[in-house]
Amino acid sequence: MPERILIIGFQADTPIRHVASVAASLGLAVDYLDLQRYLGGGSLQFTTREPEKARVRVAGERFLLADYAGVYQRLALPPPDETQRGRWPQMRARYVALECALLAYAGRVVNRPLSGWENMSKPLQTYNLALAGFRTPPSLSTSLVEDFREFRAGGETIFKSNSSIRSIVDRVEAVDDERLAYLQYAPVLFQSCISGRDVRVHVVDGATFPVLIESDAIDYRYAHARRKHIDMTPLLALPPQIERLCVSYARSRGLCLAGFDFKLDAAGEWWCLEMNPAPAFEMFDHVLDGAIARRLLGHLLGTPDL
Amino acid sequence: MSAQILLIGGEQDALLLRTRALLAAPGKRVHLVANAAEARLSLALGSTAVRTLVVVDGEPLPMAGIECIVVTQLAAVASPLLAADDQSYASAEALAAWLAFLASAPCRVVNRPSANYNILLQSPLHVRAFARHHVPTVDDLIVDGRALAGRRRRGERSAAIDLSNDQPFWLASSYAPASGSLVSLIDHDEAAPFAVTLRVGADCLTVPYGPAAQAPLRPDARAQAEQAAVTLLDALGLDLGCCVFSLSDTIARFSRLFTGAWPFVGEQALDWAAERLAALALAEQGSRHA
Repeated sequence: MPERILIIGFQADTPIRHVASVAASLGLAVDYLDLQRYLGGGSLQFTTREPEKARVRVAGERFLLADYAGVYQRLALPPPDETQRGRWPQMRARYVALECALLAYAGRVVNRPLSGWENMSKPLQTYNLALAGFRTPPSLSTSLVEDFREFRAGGETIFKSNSSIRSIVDRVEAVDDERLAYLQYAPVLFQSCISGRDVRVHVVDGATFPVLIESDAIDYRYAHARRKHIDMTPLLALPPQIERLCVSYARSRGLCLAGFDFKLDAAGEWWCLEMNPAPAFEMFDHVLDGAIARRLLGHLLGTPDL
Repeated sequence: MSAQILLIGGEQDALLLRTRALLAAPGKRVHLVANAAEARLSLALGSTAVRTLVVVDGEPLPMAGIECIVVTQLAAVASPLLAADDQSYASAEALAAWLAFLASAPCRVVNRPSANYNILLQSPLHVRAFARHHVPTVDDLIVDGRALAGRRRRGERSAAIDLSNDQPFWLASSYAPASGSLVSLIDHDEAAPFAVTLRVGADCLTVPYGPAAQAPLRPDARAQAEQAAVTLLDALGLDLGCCVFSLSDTIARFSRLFTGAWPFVGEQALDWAAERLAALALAEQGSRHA
């Protein structure tokens, strides 16, 4: 049985660096496939008749998927910029080919490509989370000014993007009519503002890793940039119902690794804001002494309690 | 108040245009949405006083009055009044909002987005990867141009699709890929026919396609193709689809799925599909939810 792990991603991507670092500290055998170099000029050969023989070549290095017990991947296709526009079709072809090789690969992959794709639509994910039994904030995705006004009249409101394009979540303050006129060009997702403490719950292979976040920023991910306070501590236990929901929802989406964002209000209610199928978890793992990465690496090696 | 039916797809989509003509009847209002970025909407989720509606051609259509939605393609082209970067953002936002609108609509939706089916994402390779769990499927081989040239020299024949441009069906043997490009080969003899199975609701129609398309299909191939099409489309949660099967060997093997426009399907087959799609749109509620 292979005992090596393959990590695929961009060098600057912090979860990639974090998992590689934890693996090194544990003395695990890990290879790294540089996604930037592969997309720029690598090649791939595989047949679905023998998917384990998939072979990737990148700058003189050769990777045979059969050599690995598992793969941790953070595939992403950068949008075409002016310098790459001519090469972009081939970059996209390499991206799709690698995605499909990982779909056909029989070993463990975290996460299998396309799992949890609903994250590309936050209102769709909100709808699915509510169907699954999570408590979700009242939401309105709208391109109509009058509907925005009616929703906002119902209480304090935050705004975010509908798509998976990253946006800074913030409170809706005074909005002038000129700015509101832009709604006609693109809908915006508005949600009732839920006050309380943030909790991030990572699910890895059926185990949960909750972290409590205290911050005076609306979007704690940008607390440092906005000179706001942030403090994170491990949460010792989750309510059993929340733990069950997180584990079962991740499983229903085919996800080994998932990150759930909650607000815990003063009445003790857990509000699920969203679920990330490719979470950047390193900042939380630092307060957990690397427990998330260890569980992830253990899963890839078939030994959960690494 | 008239019952509203929404058709979402391309303005040149022959199936949708035929279906629209069949649906035009007293008491029914049929609207075509070709550009999701132009049709404004409000999608309310959870406890809020705002109601869900779309605005098509300037007319507000509350969700409560929409009887059925048929989706063959979801596209968004943002206003040219926006800066280039803002246009791509606005398109992504419109598509994301419409995906949620379609998935959560309480009326019948043909075809509803679901965990297994994302109308925006799936390439032929992705669909085959999913299909392998359900039906016999052609094998894929992904190679670079040099390896393809070697196979051609050795006389190994199979249909090729250039992954950089995703040509439909196949490229001829003379195709020479550009340096560095990747090619997807499917295990299909270029001289063998394909079977094309249209599925609309509970009905299927199978016709030959490609080389020897004038020859009748083997009865066993037709039965295999239709059974596989129903199995696969049920797994994807789709009522409407066009499955292409390779008939290179004794088993009909799935190769491609089309849920949008079907430019390669003949007039008679399109009429057959439009009649059934119109009937499906008018049928009693009972569509699957995501």
